[in-house]
This record gives sequence, structure tokens and C-alpha cells, in this order.
Amino acid sequence: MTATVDIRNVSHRFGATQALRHITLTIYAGKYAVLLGPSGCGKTTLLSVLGGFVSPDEGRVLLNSKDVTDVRPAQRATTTMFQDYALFPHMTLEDNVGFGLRMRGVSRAQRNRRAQELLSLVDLNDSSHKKPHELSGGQRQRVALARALAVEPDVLLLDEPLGALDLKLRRQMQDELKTIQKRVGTTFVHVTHDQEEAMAIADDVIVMNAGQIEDTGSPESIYLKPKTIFTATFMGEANMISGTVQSCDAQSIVVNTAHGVFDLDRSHVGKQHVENGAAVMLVCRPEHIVIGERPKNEWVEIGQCVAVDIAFFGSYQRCQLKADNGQTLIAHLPQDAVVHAGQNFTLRVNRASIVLLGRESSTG
Amino acid sequence: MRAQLKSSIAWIYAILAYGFIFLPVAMLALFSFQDSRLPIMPFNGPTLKWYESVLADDRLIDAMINSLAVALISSLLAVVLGFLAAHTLARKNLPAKGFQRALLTAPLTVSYLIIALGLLIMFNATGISLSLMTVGVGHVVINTPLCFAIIYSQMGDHQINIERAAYDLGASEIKTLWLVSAPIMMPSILAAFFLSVTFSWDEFIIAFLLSRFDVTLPVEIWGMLRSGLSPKTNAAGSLVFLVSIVMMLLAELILFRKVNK
Repeated sequence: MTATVDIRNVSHRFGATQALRHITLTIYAGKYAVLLGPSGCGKTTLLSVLGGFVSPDEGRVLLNSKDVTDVRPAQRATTTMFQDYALFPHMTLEDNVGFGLRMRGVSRAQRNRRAQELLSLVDLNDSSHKKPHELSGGQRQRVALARALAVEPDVLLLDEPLGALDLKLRRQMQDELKTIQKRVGTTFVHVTHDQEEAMAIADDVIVMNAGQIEDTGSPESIYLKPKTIFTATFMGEANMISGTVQSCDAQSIVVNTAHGVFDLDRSHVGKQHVENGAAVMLVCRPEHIVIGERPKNEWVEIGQCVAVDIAFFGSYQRCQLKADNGQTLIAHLPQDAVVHAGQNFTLRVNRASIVLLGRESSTG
Repeated sequence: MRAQLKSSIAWIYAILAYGFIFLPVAMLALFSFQDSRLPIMPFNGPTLKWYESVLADDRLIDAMINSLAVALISSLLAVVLGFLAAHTLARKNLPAKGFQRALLTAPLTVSYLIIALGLLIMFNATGISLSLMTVGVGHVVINTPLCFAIIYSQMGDHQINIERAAYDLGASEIKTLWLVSAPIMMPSILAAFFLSVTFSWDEFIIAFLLSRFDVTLPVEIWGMLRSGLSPKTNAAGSLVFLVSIVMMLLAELILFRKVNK
């Protein structure tokens, strides 16, 4: 059971706060979509609108092209997995998982069989007669998932489901959630503020900020080709270099910055409209910056920098550098690079990796 | 030396205070075992003959059954009304919430005499004749605010999502109340119930003013007192006290267990 979710021009206001502004979004059937944004960006409100707990001031919500905006949560083909799991504390796991089926008039034998199936899907088949308080956080999480899936929803809504778990368990549950989603094929809509979690789990990431959608796309495209300054800075580390367009033609765009002249290839920048004199922002990911000689046609020289601080992060070394012009840059150097504070470098950045954004596109 | 003096003063104070509270009850209980016609010093005994005569007295046994029926039925009603009011006030967006909460708990501060007189006037005006049912109505009036206050104080926000989950999985509002909200609140519901039962069990003024032919145990004991003191009255009173203590302990145990969970 799965469905395509269509959100059409949804706006909602809580008192003086505009929680959602003209949200239009399609989540295709069978996808794992992640709503990502800082707290207060409206992602949880949007999830409540999808679940039917909040009816929006404006706009429509469609499931498989059927308007469900005014349908109550109980009648909607969605189920919500709450942040605090919201298990029924007085019922056994079997009764928790079977609750939705009980409400649908399914016989006890049948719903116990189904509960058993779902509990084995989440590896808890031996605990069906335990009560929630006997379980660990991760196990409760799994029961909540099993309970939500027992009624075969078309869309499963997950509200910060991994927020209460410790880091290691969180990574493990991410993998499990994704595996289970692929197995059952239900559309998952998952809310989080953790960008690593979003990238680890999502087919589609929807970046939200201040009640609006900033960006949508696969984790790669969101990270490597962000469409706004907000997305670029929210998704991992980025060096933001502001500049002005000096000249542009069909082949190249030349941008003047404090770090020198950046000669960019038009084909890397995308189809966006650029004109002479426009204020722009160049996004360089720290892992695209290197030290040492590189061929000139593929690498742009940023100039001389002095290393200020180096920290070992396991798979890379995070290096804080000060450029001649006084600006700070961050570079992720290979694990085995020999660097120490006070050393001078010529930095180069991969030409194809540089993202050019209009500076007025900033909303954050 | 000074520390010793301080602590002995504290001990004497504590003994006096507890004596002040419990001596009357202890005397009542002691003289229910008195082996003579009057419950006065000196104490002779002990004997169980007065308890025997209480249990052989049909009027007292009938009164006891009446009391028990009134206590159980009126407490059940009070707890249901109190729970529904507490749940609605905690979960729904009602106008003037604070005022409504105050209105619901206000009867706790009104004297039982006033409540009884008010009900008496109303029953007279509407032509409802006095019976155990009217006593029960009186007890619902005094116990509903108590049940409301106890249950409302335990109504936490952490249950909101649990109830939402039930709606989301297809439960109607009534089914959610019955299958999810009430079971979760059961410790405070039971505590409220047992407390109501004790209050109703030994309540006198309302039971006295609102009953006629069938009476409750406190009213019957009052009737016995009018014909003079007797260790039999003490025995009946001790039994009333014993039942109250058991109910209180049950309420206490249930609340205590909940806190420790």
C-alpha cells in the first residue's frame, strides 16, 4: 500500500506566527522523503497537516489525487509515528501493534497473527507479551513502527523518530528504517533537523526554512548543487565566498572575489541567468579544496593561506586557514596529509565543484 | 546536653500531638471491648460481646448495607463525572477554562450543612421524597469536585500523543477514553474512588437531613446515642472507623505505587 502525496499551496498560521507559507510539494509513491530544517521551520506543522491533526488555513492535501484536506486522521490512509513513540503503556506489545486492527473490527486471532508478523519484521517477536516499560528506547521505537505499519497505511509520517536515541543506535535505526521502507513500499515522510540523518536515509530531501521550501532533490544534488545559500550552509560545511560577476558569455563566467578571480565553466554553473555586475556567492565545500600543485584547467587557485588550526577527524583532517586577505577558510585534507599550524599553502579548489548562487536568493 | 533537651522536647511535642489526634479514637476502640454496661473508666475486659450484639442487630446490619450501597454507587458516579470533567478540561479548548475549573472545585469549600439544606429545599420543591437515593445524590455533589481535583492534577501532557495515536489508528473519541485514557489514568481514578467511598461511608449531616425511613450507618449510630452511652455504640463506631482506614490505605497504596513507577 502506497500513495503519492500532493501538497498544493498550503499556508498555515499559529496566532502571530506564519508556520507555513504557500507550500507546494509532490512526494511520489514509494519514496522515502525527509523534511529537513532547523527547529521552527514548519516541518512538523507540515507533517501534522499531512496526518490530519492540523487543518491548514489555505491549500489542499491530496493522496493519490484524492482530496483529503478535510478527512479526519482516523479515516486517512496515513499513520503517524510520534516523537515520544506514544505507545499504550498498559497494553502488551501484541495489543499495541494490534490496536489499529482491533478498531477495524479484525478478530483477535487474526490481529495477533498480524502483530506477530510485524513484531518479527522489527525483530521483537520474542517480546510480544511484554509491556512497553520493559523495553529500551530503540525497542520502543520499533514497536511504534510496527504498530503504525500494522494498519497498512499508504503513507507513514515519522516525527523526529530518532531524536531520543543515542548516536550509535540512531545510525543503526536509520539503516533499519530504510530497509523496512524498501521492503513494505509505503511512502515514508520523515521529519528531522539532522542533515546527516537526512542524507543517510532519504530518496528525496525537502529543505525547509521559515515556513517555506528552500530546496528539494536527492541528497547528492542538495549537497553538491544547493539552490540557495541557506541550503548550502545548512547541509554540511561550506566556504561562502562573495563576489561580483566581471564578465560572462556562453562558455564561461568570470567572478571577482576577495580571493582573486574565479574563472568558471558555464556548463558547471547550470542554466541560471547571470549578468555582468551581479552580486553572487560562490560555495566551495571544504573537501574540494586541496593543497599542492594541480592542473590549471581543472583547478582554481585561491591564493596563499596560513594554517591556523588542524584537527584530526578520523577520515579527514579539518584545517582552518587564514587567507592573505584575512578571511578564514575551512579545508578537509586527506587523513595522511602532513600539515602543521603556521605552515603556508597555496590552496586550489576544483573548478567543477564550485556552486554559483545569486546573493539575493538568501532567505535565511 | 542542649541537643538532648531539644530532642526530648521534640519527642514530647510529637507524643502530645499524636495523642491529641488519636486518643479519642483509641478510647472509642478500647471501650468497645468493655465488659460492663457503660463505656467509662475503669476498663474491664476485654470482651467481644458488644461486637456480637452489633452483628446480631438487624437494624445496624441493614444500615451498614445501606451505607455501603450509597458509598459505592455514589462514588462510582462521582468518579465517572469527575474523570470526564477532568479529561475535557485538560484536553479541549473550552472558554474560561480557569473559571470553569474553579467552579468545579468550589463545592469543596462549601459546608456539608449548606449543601444538604440546599438539596433539601430543592427536593421538597420538586416533590422528590427523601430516600437513600437522595442521600446518594448529596454524596455525588460533595465527591465529584474531589474526584475532579485528584484526577485533573494527574492529567499530564505526555498522554496527549498517546491519545492522538489512538485516534490516528481509527479509535473513536469514546473508544479512546475507554481503552486508552481511562486505563492510563487508572491509579488516580481508583485513588479518587476509594477516597470518595470513605467520605461517603462516614458522612453524617447530608445522610441525616436527606434520608427518611432507610438510613445509613452514621445516622443509625446517632439514633443509638440518643438512648445513652453503651459499649455497643463504641463497637459500631469502631467498625465504621476500621472500614474507613482500609479504604484510605487502599487509596494511599494505589497512589504510592503510581508515584514509584
